[in-house]
Parts: sequence; structure tokens; C-alpha cells
Amino acid sequence: MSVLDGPKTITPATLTPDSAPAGTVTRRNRTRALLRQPWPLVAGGAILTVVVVVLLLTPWIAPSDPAEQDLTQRFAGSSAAHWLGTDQLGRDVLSRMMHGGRFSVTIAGTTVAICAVLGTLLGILCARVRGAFDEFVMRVCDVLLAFPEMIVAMFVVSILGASKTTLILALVVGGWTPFAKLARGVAMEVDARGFIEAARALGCSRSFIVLRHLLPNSLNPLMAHAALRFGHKLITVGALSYLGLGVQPPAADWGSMLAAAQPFLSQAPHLVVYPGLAIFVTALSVTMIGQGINARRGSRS
Amino acid sequence: MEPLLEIDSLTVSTRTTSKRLLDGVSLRVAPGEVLAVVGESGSGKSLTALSIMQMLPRVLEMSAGRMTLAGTDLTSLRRREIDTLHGGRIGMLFQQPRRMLDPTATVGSQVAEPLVRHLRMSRREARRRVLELLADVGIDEPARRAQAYPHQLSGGLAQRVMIATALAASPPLLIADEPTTALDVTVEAQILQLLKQKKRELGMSVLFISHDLNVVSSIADRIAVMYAGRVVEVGTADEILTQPEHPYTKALIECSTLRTDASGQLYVIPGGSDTARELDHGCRFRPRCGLTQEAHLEQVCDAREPVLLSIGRSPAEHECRCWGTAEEREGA
Repeated sequence: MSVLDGPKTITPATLTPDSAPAGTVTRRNRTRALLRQPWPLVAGGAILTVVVVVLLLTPWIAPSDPAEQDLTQRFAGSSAAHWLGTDQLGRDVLSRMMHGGRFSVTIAGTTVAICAVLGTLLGILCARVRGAFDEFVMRVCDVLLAFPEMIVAMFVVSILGASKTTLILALVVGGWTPFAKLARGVAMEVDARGFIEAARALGCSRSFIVLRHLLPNSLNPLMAHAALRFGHKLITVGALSYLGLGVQPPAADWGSMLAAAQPFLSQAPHLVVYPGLAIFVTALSVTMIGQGINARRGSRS
Repeated sequence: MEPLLEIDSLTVSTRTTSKRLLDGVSLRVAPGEVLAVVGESGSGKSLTALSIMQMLPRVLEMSAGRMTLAGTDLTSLRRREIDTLHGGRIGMLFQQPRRMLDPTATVGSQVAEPLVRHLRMSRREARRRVLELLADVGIDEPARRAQAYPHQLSGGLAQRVMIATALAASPPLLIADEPTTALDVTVEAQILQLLKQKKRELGMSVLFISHDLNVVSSIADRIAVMYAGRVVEVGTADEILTQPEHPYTKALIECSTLRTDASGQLYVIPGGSDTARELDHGCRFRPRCGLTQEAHLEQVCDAREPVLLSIGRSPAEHECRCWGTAEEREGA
């Protein structure tokens, strides 16, 4: 860790007493520091890591082709060949879920990332510039917030047609507003703190103050919010696919798998349970990470 | 001697109501001199500092006056020039040092900011210089402290870091806004000592803002006393502390000794300064002044505001804004 490195979040490692100077963090210290994090952060992080690794490795480890049909094996239960059974066309549920998850998680992740960056930029800009610009952006936010996110997304997708890009676009249109509102509030609060004034008194330029002092100090609540939003987005993507506005067959994602399984609910409940669980567990893990970040912030201040 | 900083009838008022928060403040700081500005809360000390820094909050505006630093007019600077002024020509210290350091950045990187910005040092050079600067302000183990985060510092250490930062680019003027108020007395003494030493080494001028006459007496060459947005008395530190003329200054000195009267009560100035700005005629200190009744000056004090009158042997030595003292001189 050098003197002039970029901004760093304060990890508990740097909070250790003076006997362990920052910069000489041993591996043992690191493990200990990790375990001292709030438990939702550790648990959520562990689950998410597993999910992401499995999804990344899917092309190589998926047991069979997700589109390969075997009509003699329809609605099969769990077996050595099909761990999670098969669906109404005899396709391997596990393989379909693994491939489908790549779609769901990528869309949700990309959307949240774009929303977070766009919303944060606009929010901070509002807080710094104020005046008419602030007023305009905030009123646009209010209008967008007045409509449920699903309605806005369905509207955009039905106009532009279903595709990966339009899906992301649709979710971003309704999704950046909470970030902008939050970033604006946080930035206004940080902006009034002493060190911003001190930085001005040192002759730092405005952009430098924003990038070097304002942003790092606003990041924690925004990251926590992004994690909470990710779970939310995952469910929205599922819901849109469920309504046929997301991924198009024969490809599948968790939401469309739920939709396809609906007619066979009594016959083959596992077709609903597994994708439902996948959405639930992934959304839960990221939400826990968000709560963990929040808890860490709370305990420090 | 040509003054380094010259403020001439500075007036600051609110944009919406045009209430005057500073009214015709004139101050002069010679090179290498420490001018202390004293007064109670709300007297306009900090506002004067912010005006010099061109850092007034948006709701306030400078409605009159001139300010020059070594001949440069400060009021007509453009944003870019103000950035060079800050840290480069004027360093600033604040009241609560720990709140003035960014909690997410290391101490070293914050001290390095003015070096890179004003002295155009490379990051590597700056890193080395930071250690020297930290050692210069009496910080042990500068290498370790440079990597620390602000929450790991005590208040005194944090103020030392702030001093190192403010003086990194060797500005000719340092504005210290109650730099020791948040510190305990032993640390306060150390910081004052350090400031005096740095002043000598760098030959800089200091505008030292404080409410505490005891602190001021140890560091100031000249003292300006402010009340309700006006300078009421100004003179050499010796004159002001030993022969105060203005009733407000006398009362301040009386307060600072923390003496009790016969009934065991601490001396306080009766009334508050918050109503003083509401007065639109006469002397602002009149409602709290003992001299008014004593010298039977009610009508004079009520009718017109006194002007700053020179009462010292040489013109700039001692000035006071009071009808009472003016009367006395005329009578004598």
C-alpha cells in the first residue's frame, strides 16, 4: 500500500491496533479480517461466489445440451443421468437452469451496473450543480418513479421488441432513478462535511474534489443499494421472461422456465421448484451482501 | 511597511434580505506579522476569513470593499486563479482538524495534494517530501503516520497534519480559524508553539482567529476585536491587553480571567450579541455597555454609530470605536 494509491475503503485490517501497521497485512490477518465482517456479508458472498463460478463454467460442466429433447424421458424425476429430472420435452432441467442462469444473472448484473453508474453520476451532479439542472433531473425521476418498474419495462419492450439489448434498456429506463435520488442525498451530506471545505481551501479543482473526496465517501451506501437492487432486478427479469418479454425459446432463463412449467404444476412440481429456488437463492445472497455492507457502515460510524 | 494583506471596508450581506453580517471591516496584516481577530461567536471572525478565501456560502455576497494580497486584488479573481490562491498563497487551518481530513484517504496522500497541485511535484517526489513535512511539524515515525487514516490520529496529531498540509506550498499568509479550540490545553500549547516556530522559519504572516484572549496573548503581534460584524478596537497586542479602551474589549478581558465577584459569580457580559445586528442606529454595543450610563452618553450612543478613532501615539497604533473614549480624549 503506497502513500499515493487511490482511495481505499477502510477494511478492518487497517483498523487493527498500531502494532500491526497498515501495509503489512499477512495472509492470516486477511482471513481473520474476512471472518470479522458481518455474517450476512460472508454468507452472501460465499453463496454468490458458488453461483457465479458454476455459471461461468457452465459450457464445460453442464451435463447435457439444454435444447436436446428426449420425448421418451418426459417429466422424469431425479436420476443419475438427469440430476434434477427432465421437463415436458424431456430436456435436462439442470442444464437448462445453468444456461438460463447465465442469461438472468448477466442481464440483472449489467442493468444494475449501468443504473448505478448513471444514477450516481446524475445524482452527484445534481448535488453539486443544484439549480435548474437538479430540479429537472429530480422531476424526471419523480415521473419515472410514479410508474411501477414492471410497467415501464413492459412498455419499452413491447415497443422495441424483445431482445437482450432492449431488455437491458427497458430495465435501465426505470432503474436509474433510485440511485440518482440516493446519490444526490448522500453527496449533499458529504459535500457539507469539513474535509470538502478543507480541500477547497487547498485549491483542489472541483472535479478533483468530486472524484477524490466526494465519490469515495459516498460509495458505501450506494454499493449497499446496488446489491439490494440486484436481487430485485433478477426477479424482474424473471417476471418479464415469465410474461414472454424476456428470453425467447428455445433458450431459457429462470423466469421463462417457471412460465413453461406452469401448466404441469401438479404433474411435475420440480419444474417450478428448482428455477424458483435458483432465483430466490441468488437474489437472497446478493441482498445479504447489501445488508452486510450496510451493517459494516453502521458499525463504523 | 507595505502590508501583505489589506482589507478595506469589507461588507458582506445576505442575498435575500441584505442583512449586513460584516459591516465595513478593515484589517491590515504586515509581512511576518500575526494579527489576531477576537470576538465572541457570531461577531464575524470566521466570515472575514471565508471572505478572504473567496469561499462565502452561496447565500451571502460581498457587497462592498476591497481586499488585496501583496498587491493582487482578491475580489476580481477568476476560479482558476482562486484555486492557485488557495493553498498556494494562503494556507488555512480549521477548528476541528479531524473533520477536515478525508476519512477514506491516507494522511500522506492528503498532505501530498498541495505539493502535486501547487508545486507541480511528481507523485514520487511528493511522497518523499510528505515525510519531511510530517517530521517538520513534529510527528514521530512519519513513514508510519503517512499511511495511517485520519480516524487513527488524535486531535493534536490531526492538527499537525493540517499544518503540514496548509504550509506544504509555503504560502506567505496563513489563516488559522480557531485552530486550537477543539484541543485540550496541553496540546493547545504545543500547537501554538509549533505555529510560532513555523511562522519564524517561513517568515509568513498569520491571521489568527480566536475567541480566547489567553491564547491570542501568546501569539499575536496585533489584535483586532470584532463585535457584531464590526471592528471595534484594533492595536498592538500589548496596548489592547494592557490598556484596552473599548468597553467590549475590557469586558472580554474581564471574562477571560475567569474571576468571580464577591457573591461567587463568574463575570459575564450582560445580554447577547444576537440582537446587536437588529440595531439600525447608534452604537451596536450600546444595550450591553456599562459605560453608556456611567458617562451619561445615552443620547450620543443612541444617535450615531461611533467611528474608528486613532487614539495611540502613532496613527495606526491603536484605534477604537467608542463615543466614551472619544469624549474623554476631547475633554482632556
